[in-house]
Amino acid sequence: MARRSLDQISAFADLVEARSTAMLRLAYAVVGDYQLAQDLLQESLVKVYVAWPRLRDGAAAEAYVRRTIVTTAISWRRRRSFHESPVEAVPEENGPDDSDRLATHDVLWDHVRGLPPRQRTALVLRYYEDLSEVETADLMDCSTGTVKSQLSAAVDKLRERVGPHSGVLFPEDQAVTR
Amino acid sequence: MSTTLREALAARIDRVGPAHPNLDELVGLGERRLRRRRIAVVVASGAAVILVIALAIGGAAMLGSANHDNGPVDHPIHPTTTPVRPLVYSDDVDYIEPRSDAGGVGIHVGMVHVGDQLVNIDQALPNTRRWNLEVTDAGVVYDKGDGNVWFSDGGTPQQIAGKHCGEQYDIRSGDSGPWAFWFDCESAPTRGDLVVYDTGSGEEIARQPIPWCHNSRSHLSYEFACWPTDIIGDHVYYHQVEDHPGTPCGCRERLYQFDVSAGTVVVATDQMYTDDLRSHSRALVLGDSWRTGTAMDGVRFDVVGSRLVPTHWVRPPGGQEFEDLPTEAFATPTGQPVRFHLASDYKPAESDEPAFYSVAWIDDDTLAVGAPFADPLKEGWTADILACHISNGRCEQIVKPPNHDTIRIVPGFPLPG
Repeated sequence: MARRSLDQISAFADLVEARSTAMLRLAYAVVGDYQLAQDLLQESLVKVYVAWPRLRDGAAAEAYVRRTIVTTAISWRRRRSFHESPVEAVPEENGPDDSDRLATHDVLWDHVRGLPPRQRTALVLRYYEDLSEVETADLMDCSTGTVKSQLSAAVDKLRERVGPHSGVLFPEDQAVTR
Repeated sequence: MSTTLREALAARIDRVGPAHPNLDELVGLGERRLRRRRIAVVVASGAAVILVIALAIGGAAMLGSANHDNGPVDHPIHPTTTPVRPLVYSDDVDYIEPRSDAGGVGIHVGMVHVGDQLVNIDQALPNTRRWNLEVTDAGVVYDKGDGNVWFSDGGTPQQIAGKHCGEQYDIRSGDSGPWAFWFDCESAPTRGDLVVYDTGSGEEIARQPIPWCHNSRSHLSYEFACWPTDIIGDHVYYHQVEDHPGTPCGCRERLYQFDVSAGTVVVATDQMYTDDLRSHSRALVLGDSWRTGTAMDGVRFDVVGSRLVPTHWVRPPGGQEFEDLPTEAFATPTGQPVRFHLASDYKPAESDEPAFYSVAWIDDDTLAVGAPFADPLKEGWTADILACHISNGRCEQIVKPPNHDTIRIVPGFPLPG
């Protein structure tokens, strides 16, 4: 006999149906590997199923999934975090050629994957998920000061690695050009 | 042409999907984890799953029979000088990436507290389903992932046996004494020997061939059909799956007792097991009275004010599902009521359902209990650990809660994740 009621399973199914793709993208963003992202999503959804009666509503459940994805991903990588993950093949720096727009995305993404886990997570939560620093800190279970320092280090590193002629506008660049 | 950081990130990340999680698989995994959590805390220090379920279903009525009319032994309760068992736990736990063939989340366990010693276990587990980590009066016994049996008395771990058999509950110790046991499939690959090992002396003290543990019947999913259950005194209990026509699986699980002193193996009844527990100093009787209650060695205590109220996992009259219902606890074998209370200066962590679960008996008078982590997403994490004394009911904090991002594992509790 299931320990969760049919109503609870139905509500859980609704969450899975509605939000799995977004959650898979978040998982992929923080781990940078499709297979790992699928494992991470499954693990996070199972945890939410177990915790379901203590979650007040669907929004809380989604927030828990996101938090589980983030904290678990950081933990997975913690043992490697003393050094950065190697980038499998670091592409050469490209100029701002229009035809290379997609290649620029790929170059940047490879460098994002090479960031330490906390820097990468802060970066994607802040600049892909568009979360505030406070929201990012809450999800990462750390202070806003830590988020700021991780973001600053991540952006500096990316800026240095893609080079000044990559065509990528970093947040500070955008502020200046607006 | 320029591109913003967000556009560049979205260009790659938004290529992912759509996701198609298998709902049935998710629900199945979630239900299994819920069952495992329930089972693990109830059998915190040894009784087998099937036995606990059997006791929960029929235990109270069965034990209410006239078999215990002798009443409690009349001798005074006082703090004992029995051997002190080391408290074992680890705060050096990380999630690790799963092995590609295992899936799910793995964990790595580094340093383990064994009493006042820190031991480097350095154990990577491919998943969080189970890990044999058993405590004896002499130290800690565990499997090294490859099935070999290791032991530490607080010093450098040493391998004490080759590969053991089976897939679950493969190594067991009792609530007291230095013994541990398992089934040895390395020296006896075609039969599986039950091996009882004294971790204090470092000697194998009994080896009993159990040839029928090796299962060759195709309709059973068990490759090895026996698993260790518990040690109470000289009695070693194990379960075995056997053919039994007429049931959905065509099988049944039976409890066996190996008497180490006599060298005999007999089919055991639940009554034999609970009688042993009742005569054992490290268990509690749950129920309205010592005579009619059920002997258990793993108990959940709800926090009610400053009291720790024992609960019994039973189906209420007219109810459909099992629940933890408040009850009374009595010491074995004296029959004295056990009423634990928190120290006045101690505040348990905030939680929707504040509770403590049996961790281990440290000596005949002292039961260590642990609180699960309040955050539901930190499933399997354990917070602080208290030592509760049978003689005066007082519970004192002996291990503080870990930092908020530190995963703590304790033997007998579910693994995190």
